[in-house]
Amino acid sequence: MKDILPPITGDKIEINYGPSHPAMHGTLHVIIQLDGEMITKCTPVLGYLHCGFEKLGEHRTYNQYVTVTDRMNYCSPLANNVSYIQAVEKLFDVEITEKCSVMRTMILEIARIMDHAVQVGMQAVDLGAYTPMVWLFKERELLYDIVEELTGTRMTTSWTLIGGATRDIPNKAWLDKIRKFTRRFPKAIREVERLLNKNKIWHDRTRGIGAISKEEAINWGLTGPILRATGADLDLRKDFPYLSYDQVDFDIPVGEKGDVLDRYFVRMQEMLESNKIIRQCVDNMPEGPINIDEPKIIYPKKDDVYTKMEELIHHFKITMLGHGPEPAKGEVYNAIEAPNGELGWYLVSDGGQYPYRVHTRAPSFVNYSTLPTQMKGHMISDLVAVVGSLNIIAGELDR
Amino acid sequence: MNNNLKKAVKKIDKKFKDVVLKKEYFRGDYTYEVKADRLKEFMAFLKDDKTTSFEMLSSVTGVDYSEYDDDKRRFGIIYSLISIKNKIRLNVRVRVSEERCRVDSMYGLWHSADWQEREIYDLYGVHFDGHPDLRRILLDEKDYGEVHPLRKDYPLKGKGERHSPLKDYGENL
Amino acid sequence: MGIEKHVPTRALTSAFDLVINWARKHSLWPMTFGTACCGIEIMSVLASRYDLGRFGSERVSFSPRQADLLIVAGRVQRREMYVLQRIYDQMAEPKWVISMGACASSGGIFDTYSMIQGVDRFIPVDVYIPGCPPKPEDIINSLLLLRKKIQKHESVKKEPDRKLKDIYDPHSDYHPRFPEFRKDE
Repeated sequence: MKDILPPITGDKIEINYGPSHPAMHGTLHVIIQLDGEMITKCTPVLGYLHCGFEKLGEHRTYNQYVTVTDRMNYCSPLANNVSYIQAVEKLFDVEITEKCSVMRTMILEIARIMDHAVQVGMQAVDLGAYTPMVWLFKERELLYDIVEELTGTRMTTSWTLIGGATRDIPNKAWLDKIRKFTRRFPKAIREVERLLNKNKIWHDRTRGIGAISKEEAINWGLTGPILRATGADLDLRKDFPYLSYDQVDFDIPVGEKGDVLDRYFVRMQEMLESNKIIRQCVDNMPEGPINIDEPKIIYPKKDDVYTKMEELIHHFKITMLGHGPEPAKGEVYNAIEAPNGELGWYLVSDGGQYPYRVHTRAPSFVNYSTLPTQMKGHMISDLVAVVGSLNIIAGELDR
Repeated sequence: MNNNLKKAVKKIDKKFKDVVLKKEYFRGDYTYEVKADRLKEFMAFLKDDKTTSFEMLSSVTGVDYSEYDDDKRRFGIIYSLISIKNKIRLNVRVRVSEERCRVDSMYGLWHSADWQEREIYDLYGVHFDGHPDLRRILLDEKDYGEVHPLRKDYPLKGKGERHSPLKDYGENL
Repeated sequence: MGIEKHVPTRALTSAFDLVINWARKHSLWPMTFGTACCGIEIMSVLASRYDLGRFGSERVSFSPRQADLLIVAGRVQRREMYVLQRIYDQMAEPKWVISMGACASSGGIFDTYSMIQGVDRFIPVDVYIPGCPPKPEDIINSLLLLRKKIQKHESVKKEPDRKLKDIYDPHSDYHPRFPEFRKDE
């Protein structure tokens, strides 16, 4: 198409693809230089949501900071909770129980389905297809119901603590609810696929757009479904296994060309694989307590706190400032496979109750820096497709 | 996986005895502290050699060590590397003092250092030599001019940059 | 409509006001200025389970010039305040503002060096919704509260009902800024 058109000459315009735009999810701002409709230069501008999370981390204890991590990637807040507390447990050198490990695996996969559902829905709305968003949000509402029974709220959950979780499984009917969800979910995905997979408009707008090669992707630090769409099969769940991922059976979808259409296929397939993992976790849920039996680090049972003296003193010591759990002095880096990519935490502790430094390696931040490379030679309407496919969450991007 | 890590660590120890200042093993991960002027050849070796072959730089972190220990070298930059072929991880640390806070940029080896180094410049004030476009990324140049907020001597609520306080309602900052 | 400024008393327009306010309150077109987590709850409210379209807000506009309700959903940073003020000025009268969530109403958990502690320091707000994030039922409740306020709206006014000068902030003048391209591009 580009070779048929005559060469464009004339003055170049510079416009703002502004901070408040329907296709820019939240507060993304890109300045573009246009030559007709072709983009010659393209630079993202960040910082419209910089809250100072990392400075806030130095003034909150390890357990209090879990409530702040919810607000980072707000499409899948449970993944942030689990990944932060896993890094803190590595620092404290604490082993969790088997039930907690299986529960966290299941919760991470539920968060993955929620995040991919938002991404596919919003990308479809950007390119003109309104129906997949409404159908996928209906699935998301069912997951919200499940999460609300476990944690108490829909979105800002703050479910994990060092060495366990705030709440255990409410009752047996909750597991049956999840089983029912896993049975109906593949049918819903197939309905969305029937709308989009062989759709000529969808293919025309996404095939060949934003292609990036495998070596370039690794050099730029891309991770997550975007890297897997280029052909490299780096998935932290299989290569550096953590929690109970070495005991469940699942595949990793890998694409070929690395363009927007491949990323869509990888995400749809990943949602079905997550569904498989959730089903296996629910069928093999072990019995037992969810918290470890270490009264200096995690709260004892509430019945004992109200009736016995020693447990009351332990509860007091953990909650009151000045007496809480304290790790050894040292630095640690831990990363898991979040829905967007590699979500890593770098923690520095000086032996006190408050962390000395908390740094997040946010996947959106590193993925977004490849935007100028991906936009070479494309037109202005392709910018909408590419930004939608990168799944930039502004809370994670600016922190 | 553990075998690959042991082989890589042995090779680094043999080749870079004079560059490495400290080697730490904490919770299953190795951290090397190297001299700031020999950083580039150390990283180039880690990227190209077959035993180590760290193709991806996953994270660059900045730390202000002024209240951690009494060393004069105040700022630390930590690079977290990951090798896809050998499935190993490694951390490399560099410390610079406040008077001469300049470090070589890793943009030439791994492009993923691009925005992460800009963020450290923005929030701490450490310069990176050889970076193609070193300017502020998260904060506004006009409003926050000379301020580097993540340093330990800067308060959490700021020094009045966000907006003026409502004095009639008793706000101080 | 402009003609209201030349009408001497309110008594002449009170019958018109009843009908016009009834029409206005049943067809509010919101512009959702969603920045962070509350933006996702707004999307859930506009989806099929808690449908906001049945209250007359079927057409969500993304341009401030075609909206009459601004929902500020999410935390607002210092840089973003310039953008928000410009959007508020571009809306046509009569306009209403809903400040949704703890961060837009008062800063929320982010009492840090770069967050605005409450959007009402810079633009006047009609309804505040507490919560982090507020449940979709709360958002629908706030729309019903706003309707009661709209019913009392008068087109001929003796004095303006919003006194912005009480909380005027000298930092609040916006200036257009043009960021630069990369040097090596």
